[in-house]
Amino acid sequence: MIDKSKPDYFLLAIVTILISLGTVMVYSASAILADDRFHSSIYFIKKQILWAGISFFLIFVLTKVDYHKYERFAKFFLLFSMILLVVVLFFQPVKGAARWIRVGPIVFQPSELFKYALVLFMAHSLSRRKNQIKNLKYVFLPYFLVLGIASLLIMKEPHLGAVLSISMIFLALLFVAGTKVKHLLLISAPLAVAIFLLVFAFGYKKQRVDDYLKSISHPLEGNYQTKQSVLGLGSGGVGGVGLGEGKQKLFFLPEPHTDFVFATIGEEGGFLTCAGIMILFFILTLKGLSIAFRAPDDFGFFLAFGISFSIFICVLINAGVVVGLLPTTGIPMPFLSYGGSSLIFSSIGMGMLLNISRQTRYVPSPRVLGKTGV
Amino acid sequence: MERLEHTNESLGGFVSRKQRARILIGFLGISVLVLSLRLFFLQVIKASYYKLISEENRIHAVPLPAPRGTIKDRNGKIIAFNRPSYTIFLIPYEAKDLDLLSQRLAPILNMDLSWLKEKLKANWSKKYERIKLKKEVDFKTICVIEEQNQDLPGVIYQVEQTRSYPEGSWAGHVLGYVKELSKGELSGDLVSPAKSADSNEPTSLDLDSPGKSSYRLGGSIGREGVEKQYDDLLRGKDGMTFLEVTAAGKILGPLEDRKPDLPTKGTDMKLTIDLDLQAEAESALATYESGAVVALDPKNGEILTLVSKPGIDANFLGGALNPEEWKEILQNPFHPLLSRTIQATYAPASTLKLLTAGAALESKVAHRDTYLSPCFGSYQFGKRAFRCWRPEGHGRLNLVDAIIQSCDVYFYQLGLKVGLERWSHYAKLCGFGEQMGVDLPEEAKGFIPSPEYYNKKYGKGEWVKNLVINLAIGQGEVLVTPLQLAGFYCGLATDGTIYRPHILKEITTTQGRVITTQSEVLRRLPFSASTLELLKEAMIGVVNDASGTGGLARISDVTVAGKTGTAQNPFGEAHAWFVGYAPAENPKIVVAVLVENAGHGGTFAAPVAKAIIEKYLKRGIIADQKDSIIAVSSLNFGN
Ligand SMILES: [Zn+2]
Repeated sequence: MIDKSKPDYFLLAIVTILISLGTVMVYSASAILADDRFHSSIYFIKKQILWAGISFFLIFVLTKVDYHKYERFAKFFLLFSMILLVVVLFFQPVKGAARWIRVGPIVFQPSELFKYALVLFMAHSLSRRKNQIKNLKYVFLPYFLVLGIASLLIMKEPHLGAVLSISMIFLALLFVAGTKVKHLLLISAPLAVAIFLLVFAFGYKKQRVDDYLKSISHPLEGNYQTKQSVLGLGSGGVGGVGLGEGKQKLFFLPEPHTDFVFATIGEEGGFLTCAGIMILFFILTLKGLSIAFRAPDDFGFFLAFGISFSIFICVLINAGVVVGLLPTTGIPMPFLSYGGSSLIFSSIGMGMLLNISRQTRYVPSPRVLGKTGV
Repeated sequence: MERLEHTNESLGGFVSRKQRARILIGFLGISVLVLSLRLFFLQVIKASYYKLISEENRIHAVPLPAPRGTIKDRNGKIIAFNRPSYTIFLIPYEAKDLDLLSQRLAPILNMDLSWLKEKLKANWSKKYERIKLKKEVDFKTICVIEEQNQDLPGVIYQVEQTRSYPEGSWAGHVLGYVKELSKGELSGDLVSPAKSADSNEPTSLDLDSPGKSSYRLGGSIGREGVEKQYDDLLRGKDGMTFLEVTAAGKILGPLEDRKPDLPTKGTDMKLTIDLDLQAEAESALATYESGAVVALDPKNGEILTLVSKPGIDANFLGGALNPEEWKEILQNPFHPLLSRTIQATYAPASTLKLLTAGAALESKVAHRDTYLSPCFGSYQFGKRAFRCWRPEGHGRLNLVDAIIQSCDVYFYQLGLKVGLERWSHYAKLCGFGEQMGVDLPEEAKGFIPSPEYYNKKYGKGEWVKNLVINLAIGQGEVLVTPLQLAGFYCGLATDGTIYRPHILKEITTTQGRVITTQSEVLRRLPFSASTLELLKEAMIGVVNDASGTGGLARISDVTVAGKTGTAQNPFGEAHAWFVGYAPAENPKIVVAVLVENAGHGGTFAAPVAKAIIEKYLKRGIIADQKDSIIAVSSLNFGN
């Protein structure tokens, strides 16, 4: 039944381009900052290169690992990642947010892990409950419970951006699985109310929200980061000021190599590069969705769908922040932003996706989808 | 598809899944479109706008202070220049441990640095912006800092220009000083702290006037004296260098695509002041606490000497004064900040008798041989007796002898003959009661009482004629500045022409062109030639007659002329006056000397005037010969 073919090299090429571009841009964006903070301009880039290497290695290995092997760990991963969401709250906050877990040299965001654990769990679960998907009881329990608890924990960090992106992936998965729209609305309503209350009633990030509303029409009057980011993009113009020539990274733009690396790219590479990257990500997502639809089974479908969609949601949120359409959220740009956590998780996802692509049929045809794969 | 729907139930799920996926893809597509449009808007449509703002964002314009113009005396000796001095700065970012640093630095700089930590805490965001720790640090301290630079991270020094006045003691009044503009001053209300209790008028700087718009915070401005008067010329034009900076202000280096605007040095100038004469006047006044000397060239109004005691050091005023030091200056009973020569007014006493005499002669109420009631030491008018300074009296005198011997009784009567109205009229024609328009700031006007003034003060017809009795001998409410008196005597010494006194002799423009101040006739005395002739004869007599009051101003081979004065002072000893000129036949210098709280003018002021005149005229002879001497020496010894 399974067509053990070659992985989707087109997808691999896009990922390779993105990671390579990210590495170059992280260096360009971070060299001065690194020199200033650590008296070594290669402080960030040497780590990023290491992570990029690990990422390529993981992609290579995971492409060969049959994705069905993950299914049995789905519940365990979910439980494990939720425990880490509790554990992270006991770590020393960085800039007022307890988002990172540090174990020796390893620093990562459990919310990132949870995102992929949730995708894996939902792929596993949705593929089994396919026929009960229209039943509200099965939708509420266990998915909403899992998401609700996780959201509250992540809010506690606080990391509103992660909650938003995870919720969007969650809703998209349920939507595509065939859940009734009114059920989805019923699920998202309490979540929306909770966020609304947090934002407005308790003043949580109210300033940011005000800044945000203002910055859509007047990016320079919004918050500092948005202003610097927009200035960077704007001064890039159509063709950019040239690699390494950007000025906003000279401490004007906070996090020029992490969450705002897209602004640095926009300044140095201009509109053409930015638009090119947007198109690459769009193609990557379409490619991922196409793999999903050609997956040999439902588990593969939901897994491929979840991975592709979560990458795209991150791109959307990150780029939205950088261009001043969304308030600052702390979501990195997949493959481009500095940081091992984001890069390695995205790459693991790509590895899985490539493995699914190896098991697809080239001509999608209606076929009876079995409950189990192999 | 329709067929497939029938064949398998789960196939329906598959189709619906695809439809739903299409909706999601549509959502993704729209998101990409929105983002791309936004990018297009920011990066293409608004690109130039944002680029401009971004440029400004990272450019830090650092002013390049223009070197201030040098000031020289009339003989080319430097009296104000710019001295390089060391200033110590701290770059907070590089100073890791502030406590340790201030502990180490405090004894080296000999200052308390406890404020440092507070200051840094307040704006840590500006951690790259250097903080000025101490100005004018001596070279030895710099050496110590240089030696220990490993232990003093973030401590740097830089050479700055400090205004320096080699002749500190008197320069405060004549030259003024230079000090940094404060925030409050920039915003418009510049109230000089250098105001003494004697003057209530606030000095305001018109920042809107053309040429003054270039003042900037931290920039320097001339205060008082020549530095203030000619600030526009001396200041030059500050340049700008453009540096690329980070958001926190860390300087990354010069901006490549923008050349610095170089500063334009201020105009060099030469004053009319004669440094040697100034020193002579200083030393002649050395034994007195307070006084003033003005020496003018009667032929053109050039100010040769301007001394106000107590002097104030311009270097001291321009330095970093602490509040205690200011308080001390302001509370000094001698008001050292007051420039007595032009800003203070005094009763001119008998020196003004020449005005009364001139007015009498011109209004034909007296002539040379008018003899009035003889002096027996006092003059009875109504119920009041007006004393002559000489208790035993002067007997019967004509006008010339009355001037020579300064008989008060004679002038009481002469004053009554002239009358207040005429006296006041002539006083004003002679320039009293109004500014002479000297090119120095805050010149006082003095005061000449008029009938209108008394009408206002006492009511019309409510005041008595005897007010003019005191005015006639320069007492009462009449007030003059030493400069005004010197100016009046310039007229008396010459054919009646008074030139506007001025201190700026010439300037050298940046293009090297020398522009000399043109002398300007201020006024002519309302006295005829014969009147002037008579007054001159009397003034020569004052110094050279055996009975004259100014005998101590006599010089053996030069005819000195002048008049003494002794101004009654209710607070202590009288102020001693002497105003004179020499040589009488061809006046080259007019000197007005005031010694506060000394006593008789002939005793205390005349010798001071003599010393100055002697110095000037004798050195003048040497100066005249200098050219030929130099020529000879270069011929004989030139190698
Ligand atoms: Zn007498």
